[in-house]
Amino acid sequence: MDREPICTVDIYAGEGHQRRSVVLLSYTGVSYANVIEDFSNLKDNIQGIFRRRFDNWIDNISNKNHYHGWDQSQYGGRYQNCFVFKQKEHRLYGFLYHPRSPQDNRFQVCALVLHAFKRTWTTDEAELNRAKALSEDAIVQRAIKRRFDMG
Amino acid sequence: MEMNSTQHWTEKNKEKFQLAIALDFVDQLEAKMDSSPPIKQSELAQKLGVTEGRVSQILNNPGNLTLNMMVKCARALGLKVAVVAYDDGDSQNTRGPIHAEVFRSCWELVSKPRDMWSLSSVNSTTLTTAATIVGGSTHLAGGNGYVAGGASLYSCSSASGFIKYYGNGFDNGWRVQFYPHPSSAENRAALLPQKVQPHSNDERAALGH
Repeated sequence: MDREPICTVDIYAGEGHQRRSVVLLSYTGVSYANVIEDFSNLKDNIQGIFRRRFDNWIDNISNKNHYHGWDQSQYGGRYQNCFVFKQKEHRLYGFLYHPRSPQDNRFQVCALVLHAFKRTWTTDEAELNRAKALSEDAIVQRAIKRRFDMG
Repeated sequence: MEMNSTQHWTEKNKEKFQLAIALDFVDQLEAKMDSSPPIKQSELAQKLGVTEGRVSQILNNPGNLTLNMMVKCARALGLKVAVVAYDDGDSQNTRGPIHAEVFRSCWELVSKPRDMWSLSSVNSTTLTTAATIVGGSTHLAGGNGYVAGGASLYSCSSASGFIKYYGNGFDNGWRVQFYPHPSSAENRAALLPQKVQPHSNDERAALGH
């Protein structure tokens, strides 16, 4: 019998923050969700730049050049809960989630699931589809909720 | 990058902290360069007397940015620089440095005081009419109605001034500033913005929030 896939949720920014947090996931249920390892293989200064951008997002600093989501006018509204952090050609894709809903609908997590290296300005929908699929995965949702369980 | 689980990444060593504040500074340079009229990296390079590659290096890898270069970059873009030491109650640095944009925004919120004289006059003036400002049809001096929390910035014009709402509305309390229209005779003598008291929880409940 196949074992249930395992989802690991590591907080990379916003530990204890009341409004937001950024997590990186690894998930054995799919082959592409290994952003924790990919992030650790990035050069030290690239990691630092991403970490500062995580800080800025959780602190509600606006910068669409560094991170953004997609609204309902884009891609037919299919990726409204998807999100991306950017640094030159590097992309960290993921999704937004409210793990403490309904008790706390304000608290929001950006769960990053995969890393990509882009050489064009256009977004590859394949990555967005992957992020969206994981956002809808019950095991992933459960893991994130457990990580932020207020007890 | 191994760290204590509750330690902020900028506490690993001073170079990381330096990188964070250098990145914040670069964010501000880029915001200026993206503003109208936009300034290309090539133009900044020309003003600095360096190559475009050097500018790209400054913007993309600012970890070794010196104070000297920060001043040169800021001045080349018509900006000034301040270095601010502050106590945010987080001496163990569990949350990382506060972004420079927060300080700049706060300075703008109090109408960009040039000195402590200007700042002290702003602090000493408050209005207590928040309930009427945020009351739908009831308003400070007529004008548009109430807007709810959620977005980061709202505006509401009145017959005698322009009101800006900041923050997330009821989540953090209203942050409201009243900017008198210069053309309004009664307000011409008081051109500095005046801070408004936020709603109490009871007032919020009375308004249905």
